[in-house]
Amino acid sequence: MSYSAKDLSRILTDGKKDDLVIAETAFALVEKAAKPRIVRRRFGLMGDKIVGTGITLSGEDVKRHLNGCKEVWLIAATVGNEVDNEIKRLSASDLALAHAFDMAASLKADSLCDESEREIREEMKREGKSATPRFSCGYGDFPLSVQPKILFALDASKSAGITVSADFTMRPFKSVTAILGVCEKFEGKAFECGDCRFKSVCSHKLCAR
Amino acid sequence: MPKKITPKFFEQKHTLDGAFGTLAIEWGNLPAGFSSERLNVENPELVKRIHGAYYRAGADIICANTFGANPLKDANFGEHVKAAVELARQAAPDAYIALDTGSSGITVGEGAVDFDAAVRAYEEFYAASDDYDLILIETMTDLKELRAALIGAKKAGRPVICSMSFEENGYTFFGCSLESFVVTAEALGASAVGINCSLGSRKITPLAKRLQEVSPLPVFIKPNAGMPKTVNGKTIYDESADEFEKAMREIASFGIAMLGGCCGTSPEYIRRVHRIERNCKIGGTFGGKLCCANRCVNACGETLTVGERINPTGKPLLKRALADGDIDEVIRLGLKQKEDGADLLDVNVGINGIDETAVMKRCVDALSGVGLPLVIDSSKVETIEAALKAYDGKALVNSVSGKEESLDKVLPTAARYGAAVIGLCLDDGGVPSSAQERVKIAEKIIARAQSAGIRKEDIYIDTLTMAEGAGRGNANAAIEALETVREKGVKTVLGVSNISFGMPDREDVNAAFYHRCKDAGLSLAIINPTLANIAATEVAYDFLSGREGAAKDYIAAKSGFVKTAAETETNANTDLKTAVINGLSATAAKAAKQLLEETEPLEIAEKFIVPALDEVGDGYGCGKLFLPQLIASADAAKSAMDVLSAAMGGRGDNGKRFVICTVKGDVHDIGKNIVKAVVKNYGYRVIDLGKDVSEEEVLAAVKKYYPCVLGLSALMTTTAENMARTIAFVRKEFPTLKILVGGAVLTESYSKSIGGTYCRDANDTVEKLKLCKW
Repeated sequence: MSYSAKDLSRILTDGKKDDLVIAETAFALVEKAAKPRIVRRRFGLMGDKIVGTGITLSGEDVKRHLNGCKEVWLIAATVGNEVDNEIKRLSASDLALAHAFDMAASLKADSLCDESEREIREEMKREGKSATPRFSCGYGDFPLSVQPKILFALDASKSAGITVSADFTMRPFKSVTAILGVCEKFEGKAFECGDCRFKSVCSHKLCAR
Repeated sequence: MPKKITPKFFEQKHTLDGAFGTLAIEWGNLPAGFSSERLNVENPELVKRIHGAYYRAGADIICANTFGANPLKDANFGEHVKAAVELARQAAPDAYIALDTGSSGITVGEGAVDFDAAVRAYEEFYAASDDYDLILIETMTDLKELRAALIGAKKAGRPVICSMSFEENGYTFFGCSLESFVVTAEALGASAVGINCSLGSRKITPLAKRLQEVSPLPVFIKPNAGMPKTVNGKTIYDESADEFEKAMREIASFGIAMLGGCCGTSPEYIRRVHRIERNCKIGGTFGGKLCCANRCVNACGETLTVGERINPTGKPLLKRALADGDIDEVIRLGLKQKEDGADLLDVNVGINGIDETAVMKRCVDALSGVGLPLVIDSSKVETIEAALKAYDGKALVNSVSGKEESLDKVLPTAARYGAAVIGLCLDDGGVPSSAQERVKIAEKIIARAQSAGIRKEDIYIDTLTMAEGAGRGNANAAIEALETVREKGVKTVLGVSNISFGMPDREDVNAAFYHRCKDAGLSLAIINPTLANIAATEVAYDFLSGREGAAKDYIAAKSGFVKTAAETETNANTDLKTAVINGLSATAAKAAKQLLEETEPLEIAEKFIVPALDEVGDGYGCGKLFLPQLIASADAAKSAMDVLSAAMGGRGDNGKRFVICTVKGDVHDIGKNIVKAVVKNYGYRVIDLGKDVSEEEVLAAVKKYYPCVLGLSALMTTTAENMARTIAFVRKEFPTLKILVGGAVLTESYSKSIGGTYCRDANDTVEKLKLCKW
């Protein structure tokens, strides 16, 4: 899912239109309010334990995805706190724009992960390696409860200003974490909407490609 | 044994220590991601060795290794703190030991860790050892967590110094400005303020300069050794000890005498810092500023305006909105007043029949998006306290009076949370008619406030504006009292609009009184900033000031001075139905107004608004129109409905009540708000309990509004469980209650299994509501 006003327009209209004015406005407002921060680090993977992080992978989907990888990259990205304030303001004055802005901000957060993933792939290529597509908490049966551990492993509150609460949500709200495996050559396929247990009810279709 | 620290301690030269983790990894051969707080127990010799190295390098303030033992995330913090302090004391018996508090990485407030719980956790943290000399709170980025730690530190009886991490633009990740940090920390008892981490010594230099210029407290600076880079899998920092020393010498020259190092530094860096000659110069003065997270205001110079409009008295629409938990209206009023130039916002949500404390808390949270300092206006001390806990910044409490009960209860609360107070010149005997009697009450309030620990600069006396129409001489009495009180060195405040009560053309009288108050040196004017009059007469007032260029400015202002409408008008002949369908709010409101001249309000709703919504709903249902249009037309219908509602004297619904909320632990509410907007337009009375709502609160609301339909929203897998629990809880007392549920994680079958009726979207919710038996 790439990040543009056209993509936003398509999401808002179930794929039917790519030129909604509200999508352009929302997109421009997100660009203005966003203060992106990304943090990523590489760790060893031994069995299903990520070395030095206290994280044990749980759920079959992520293990299958990372099968054969000896190292992983953890990523955390955020669009920043001012976006949250803007959502609060817009919700009171223009709900339609607030809704579009909210979606645009989610797309933006995701695009930061795209950017990070691209960089990682290039770096791995220079080492003669490859990387799996990214995988996030909440995909398949990879539980949300791992999210705080990813953030602590990255010291994300200090380096990107992302905090976490007991229900695993992050502040700023439009933040994303992800895990990528380092491998020789990725043989599987990216996690897609069709693989997700929420596919029949999710209107956003934002979390995977 | 804790060492005694005198008040002047922080104005002397001190050297703080440097990075702990880097040395631990190097000397202890530890893997990355090791737990530093566990070291206190598992490798005490290593800990002592690191402390010893910094002490010998010249550090006279050693931070106990408790940075990672933050009570919000370390289950064994008690054990770690005790061990850490002992080790630091053993390693450097002549140094001052600081109990080091780092940021937790856990969210405080707004649906996450409760503020009181955070304060209690920090209280326990600071009580876990009794052998340290001072408290250091550092690397904070969220003002809420910093406040919890500062309040939690109050019981420890030690001096507290605190620092935040800033980006180059002078704001933390969470939008806290340098100035707001200083004002808030000072109000909560900090003895020194500083900046640490995030930036290297070179980039921190301009911020250090600014901090010294604005701070009435001594300053400390602990930069990183430059920016981190990953080289061959290792993290190294790019500032050498030479570069670091050079920058720190410049920082010392600003009058900053307390220096140390953060990430990437080592004993060598601290050695360099230690040998820098330096003296402390205090650059700022304490003037009693107020602030929110990103803005400070200072009522020491010109008169500041406090927007008065967030007050339900005489506002049926706002009353109705508050009763229904609709705080969007509050945000709108906040934004509008900010646009019209208000410097602060008064927030009053006191009406009968609502939970004022809960609503006030929601308003304070929501208004943080508006970005103006708040004046917390309530007669209930519980409401004031809840607001102060939620408020990020230094607030002004409106008010304390000369009544014994008020002085007893409000003053200690304001002092605890570092707030300033407005004191009303009335007491148990009522409002005195003469200026002298009011001044006497003012003196009493000032004395009592000072004994409660509130400083003069934080006291604003309200000498009371009584309507001139109700008593000749009231304006003069207010001004006379104001001038007398000013001489006592406190600030002053008046509610300007009261002066014109009962008279025609109130705006003109208010404007005139406002200018008299300004001349008398009023600090804060509580007023409606939207009055175009004020802006216009300000310009005229300035023309008469004798300022060079004032005449030119006046002429320029007058030629450009146009009262603009809130929105540009479109084709005035667009009928109501079309306006709603096309989502044109201003046009819809105008059309509704016109129709009211010949048609009854309910008939207008039935003939034009509902069919328009139905048409949009159908179009959405069959994929011709999309969600943005659905929402926009709901907004337009609301504008029209507000006009009809006002014509009907506030009543505007079919009496069918729909109680809605986002469940406990969940703070997503845009979807809920869309449902609210659409459902309201079909005539239902929607009571919005907000987000992160407990099952007890839901049950209480159902009890209050029964018969009603309940609507629950949850957007996360974890909170969907809370939804199931809430339904079970409510069904115990209301087994046949109709419960509608919605949210991206729900499915038809899951909803059924937990006892709810699944609604796909706002439109579907309306359809399901129509099918309910009332």
